[in-house]
Amino acid sequence: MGRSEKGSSIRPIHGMVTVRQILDGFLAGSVTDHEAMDALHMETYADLINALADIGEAPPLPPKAEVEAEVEAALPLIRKRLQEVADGA
Amino acid sequence: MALEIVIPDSGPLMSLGRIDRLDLLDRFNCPILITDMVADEILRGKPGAPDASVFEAWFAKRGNRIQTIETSIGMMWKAIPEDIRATLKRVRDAGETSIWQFSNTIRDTMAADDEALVLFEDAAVKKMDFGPHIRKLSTWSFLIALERAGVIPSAQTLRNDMMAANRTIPSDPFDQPSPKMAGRDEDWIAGYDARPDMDDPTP
Repeated sequence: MGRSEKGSSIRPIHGMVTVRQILDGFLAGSVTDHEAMDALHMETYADLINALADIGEAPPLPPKAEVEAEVEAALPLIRKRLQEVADGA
Repeated sequence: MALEIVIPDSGPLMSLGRIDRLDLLDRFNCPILITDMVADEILRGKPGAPDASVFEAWFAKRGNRIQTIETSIGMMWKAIPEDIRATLKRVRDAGETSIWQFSNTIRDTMAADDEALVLFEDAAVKKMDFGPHIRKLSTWSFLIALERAGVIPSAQTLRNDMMAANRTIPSDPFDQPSPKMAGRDEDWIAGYDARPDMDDPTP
């Protein structure tokens, strides 16, 4: 198992040969976005999103705890704004 | 606290554009600010893909509600002649960096109770500090929040739509499957050789 993305240890991506293997590895979480972009010679994250779209895949989901923390912080703002829009503010 | 600005990165724009749901960003009736580098990423598209035209139509339809914001990194990029730009590799995380640069220009000018939303997908954004008035929300979290706010019936349905909406891009002729031969399971070489436009390779 690898220790870090930039370390000298072996990462799962080092055994991947095809584009599909790399994209599947990214979707499964064993390959980071930057590793996938480097291996596929992509310049931007947008290119990676497009590559996933080409094979009918959505970007991987973030961890549930992270999603809940983000939603908890943003939902009151969103609800308030939607209410203001509904009230014609 | 009041939501005053939405700042989407290229990932959420592309995911929502792919299922024709950019309208979800319009629901807040507030300015949608897109940095120059993010605009560059979503408008350049892939040759033959519908992406760029979807965004051009959205920009045109929303008028001044959507504004493109100049940033230092974007101005430097644009200063490079177009023919040279096409040959250069882009700076990693340029879109995200442009959002961070923009956040630095507004963090001290936003009113105490004003808030902005940065929508993102790239993990690089998680590590960036946008100041106390800017909330970071991934595309999936955004959909969950919209579901809980009653704007959409199901975040999962939209995600399923994203997965079902592969882009249809004209393939390179060498990527196309070989023509099927009636009644037989031919390999690609046989199918390729059987094309009517192929010259007989035998002397």
